[in-house]
Amino acid sequence: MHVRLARVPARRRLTRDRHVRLIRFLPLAVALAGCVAACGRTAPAAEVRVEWTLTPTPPAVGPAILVVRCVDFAGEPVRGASLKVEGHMTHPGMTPVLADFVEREAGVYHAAFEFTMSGDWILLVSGTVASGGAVRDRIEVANVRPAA
Amino acid sequence: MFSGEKPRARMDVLRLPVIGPMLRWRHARTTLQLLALGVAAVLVLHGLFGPDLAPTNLATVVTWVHYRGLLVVALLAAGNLFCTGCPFVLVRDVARRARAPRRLWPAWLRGKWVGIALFAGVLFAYELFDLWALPRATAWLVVGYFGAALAIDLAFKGATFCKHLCPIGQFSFAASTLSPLEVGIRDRDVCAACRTADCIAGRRAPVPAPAPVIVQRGCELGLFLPSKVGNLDCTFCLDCVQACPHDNVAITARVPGAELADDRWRSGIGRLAARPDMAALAVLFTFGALLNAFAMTGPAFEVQRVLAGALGAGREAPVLALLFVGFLVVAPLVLLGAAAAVSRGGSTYAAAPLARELLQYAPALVPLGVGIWLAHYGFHLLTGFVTIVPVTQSAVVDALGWAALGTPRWGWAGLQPGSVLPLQIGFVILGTAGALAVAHAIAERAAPAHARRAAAPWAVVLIVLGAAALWIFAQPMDMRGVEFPG
Repeated sequence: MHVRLARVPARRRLTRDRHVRLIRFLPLAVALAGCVAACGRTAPAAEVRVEWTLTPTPPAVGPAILVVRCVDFAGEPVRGASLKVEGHMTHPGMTPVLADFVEREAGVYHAAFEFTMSGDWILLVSGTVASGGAVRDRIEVANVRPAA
Repeated sequence: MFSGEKPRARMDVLRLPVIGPMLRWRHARTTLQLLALGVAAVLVLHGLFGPDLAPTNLATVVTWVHYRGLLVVALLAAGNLFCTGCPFVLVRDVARRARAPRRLWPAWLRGKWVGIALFAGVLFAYELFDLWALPRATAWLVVGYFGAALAIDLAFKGATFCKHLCPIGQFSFAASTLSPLEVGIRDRDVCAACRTADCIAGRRAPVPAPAPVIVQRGCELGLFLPSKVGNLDCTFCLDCVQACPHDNVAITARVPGAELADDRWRSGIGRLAARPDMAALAVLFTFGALLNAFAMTGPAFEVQRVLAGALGAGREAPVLALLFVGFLVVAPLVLLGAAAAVSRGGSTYAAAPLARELLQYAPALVPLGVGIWLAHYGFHLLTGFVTIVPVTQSAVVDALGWAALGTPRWGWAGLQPGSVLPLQIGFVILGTAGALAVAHAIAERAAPAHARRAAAPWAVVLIVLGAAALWIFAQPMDMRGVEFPG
C-alpha cells in the first residue's frame, strides 16, 4: 500500500517551526539542568561539631546504640540539644527507624534503636541546640550483618 | 461445553459501562501519557535537585518501588497498561510532527536480540552501579530513556524503539502473556469483508484529496488484528480501536498464559517455536528474575566475596559479570539443555536438534518468571507503598520551603517484611504451577502420544527453579548499595 501525506498548510508550518525550535532547545535545557545539578551545593557552616560512636561494632541486625558528642567551636560540650536520628536503608521503600536522643552526660547524647535488616544504612542525626542553631549530620553505616 | 449450547460471548471491556467509553475516547491514551509525563518530569527534577538519599527522593522511591511493582500488578490484573501510558511515545509523537522518520529499522537488527541485550544491560547496570541508591543516576536514566526513544523513533519509522529495543517493553511483552485481557477482533466475518485494513494501515480522511491523508494511524508494531494471537508485541495503545471503521475491535477476557502453548502463526511475530530470540527473551526474563532477587540476599554477598577472592578482583564489574554469565548463560544451558535432551525422545520431532526442543518449551518458563518478579517487586511495593507520602511531603518542603502537605511522616512505610513472605511463597508456587501447565500443554501438542513423558524433564527443571526461588525469598534481605565485598 502506498500512502502519501498531504502538503502541510502554511499555518501548520508555523506550528512545525515552533516544534523544531522546542526540539532544538531540548538538548540545551537538558545540558543546563545537568550543569545545575552537577554544581556542588555548599552546606552551611555547622555551628556544632558532632562525633559519634556506634555499638555493636561491627554493626549487626538487632538493637544498637548511637552515641553522639556535640561540641561547639571552642570545643565545649553543647548541652540541652534536642536531637533525633532517622535510620534509612540505602534501598528506597524500606521502613526507616526513628529514635530520640537522651543527654546522658554534658554534650553526650544516646539514642537506642534497632537495625531491622542487614545491608547498608544511613543515619541522619538532626535537631536544634539550646541557642536555636541546627544540628545535622549524616552517618553511613555499611554492611550491617545478620544477627549472630 | 455441552452440545447444543451456544458458545458464550467473551466479555468485551470496550462494551462495559463507564470504562468502555473511557477507553474508546479518542484522547484517552494521550491523557494517560500526559499524566505519566508529568510524573516523569517531577521525578527527574527531584532526582536532579532533591536530596541525594534514595529513600527520601521521589526519583528512586517512585521508580524502584512503585513503578516496578505497579507495572507487574497492572500486567497481571489487566494488561500492558504502562505501555499504553508510556510518556516516551507521547514525546516522540510530538517530535515527529517536526521531523518525520524516513528510514526503516535494518532487517538484520529486527527481532528481540538488541532488546534482550539492553534488558540484560539494564539488569547489570542496576547491580553494578546500585541504581536504586542513586537519585541523580535514576533521573538521568529516565532522561536517557526519553533521549534514546526520541533518537531512534525520529530516525526510524513505526514503533521501532518499542518493538525492537525498549527493555521495559520486552519485559512487559513477556509478562503480558499472563495478562487476563487481550486486544482482538469481535467478528471474524467483518474482518473477512474488510477491504481497507485500517487497523494496520491507518484510517485515511474521507475527503477527496490528491493523495490519501492518514487521520488515524494503525498498529505501529505490525500486528494485523485478524491474525493477531495473544499479547506479544501489543502495547495496548488502542490505535486499532480508533482506526477500525467497523467498530470490530474488542478487549476480551482470556485464559492467562494459554498463548504460550499456542504455536499458530501470529501476525508480526510468526511461530513462537521458530523464534530463537523469543525463547532467549523467556530465558532472560525468568533467570534474570532469579538473579535480580538473589542479588538482594545475604548469600549473594558471600558468593561475590568468594568470587572476588578467587579472581583477586578489586572491582565489582568482573565479579558481577561472572555471576551474570553463571545465572543467565551457564545455568540455562545446563538445565534447559538437559531437559531438552531427555524430552525430545518423546517428541514428534525426534530427529530434530536440541535447539528445536528448546524453542518449543522455552515459553513455559514465563509464568514462573512472572511469579518471581511479582514476588520480588511485590515485596518492595507492599513494604514501601506508603513511603510515597512522607517523600512527597518532603519534596514539597524542598520545592516550596514550607510544609504545605504537613511535616514528613517518615514512620509511614508499608507492611512489615516478614508479613509479605507468605504472599511471596504463594506467587512463586502459582508461577510454578502455571509453568507446569504450559509445559504440559506444549507437550500435548508436540508429543501427543507421550505428553507426560515429554513434559516430565521440563517439570523437573521448573520445580527446581521454583524451589530455588523459594529458597532465595526465604533468605535474609541484604540491602546493599555502598560497599563491594572484594
